[in-house]
Amino acid sequence: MKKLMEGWNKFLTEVENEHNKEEVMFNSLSALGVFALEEGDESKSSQAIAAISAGEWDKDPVSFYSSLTCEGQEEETCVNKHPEMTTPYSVTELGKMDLFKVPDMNIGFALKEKDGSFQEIVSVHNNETGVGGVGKMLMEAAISSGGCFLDHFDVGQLSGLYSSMGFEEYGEERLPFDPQYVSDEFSEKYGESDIIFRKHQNC
Amino acid sequence: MPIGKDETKEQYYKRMVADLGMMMKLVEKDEKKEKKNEATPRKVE
Repeated sequence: MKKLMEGWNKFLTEVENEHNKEEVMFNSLSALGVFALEEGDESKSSQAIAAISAGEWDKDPVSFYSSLTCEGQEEETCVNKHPEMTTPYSVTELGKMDLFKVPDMNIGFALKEKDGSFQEIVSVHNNETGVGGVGKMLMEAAISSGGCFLDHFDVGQLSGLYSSMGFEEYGEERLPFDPQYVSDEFSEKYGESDIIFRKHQNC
Repeated sequence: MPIGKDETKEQYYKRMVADLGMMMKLVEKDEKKEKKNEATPRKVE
């Protein structure tokens, strides 16, 4: 019986150690994931936040296009892992919009013409390496610049964000999911999401 | 229907997929930043 108990205790210790190792490894990897990209980039984030707060914008379509696509830029400053999900707009098309890009950074949004004025929010992006925490500010800037409308797939995170910022669904119905226009990979990742049309409550 | 006048349904979907990709990236970066802020101890004055 004693031998049996000793064996059982040894087994428990081994399992515990193994479990601890896995836990430590998991925590370390998670921490690396959180810190790796943003190490030492606090000043860049602050710089971006200051420019957005001050309303300093680069309006050049070529610069905006490069910010969206990362074309011609080093990966150290601009990362675009999914070019197929980046932008359907050409420089010419962007030139017909009101553009808002943070100077010298790959961050911005555009207002597209709708019913005679620039009020549809599109291409909200942050491709700047190491900069985070600017999403809500960008959306607030878009609203204060006249942005009233936006459409999006009904994905939980986005629906929550837009609702919390005062964008309400309008119109009688959503655009039902249509699998012929999206990839299988898209459906697996985001599900069969309808498209929601929203208007800001102050518009 | 918010599909633009000179836009087909296919083009509209392409635009929506692109906007989704960009917004999700932006939201994920913000969440990452938030986690980092939570994990970083604040300086005591």
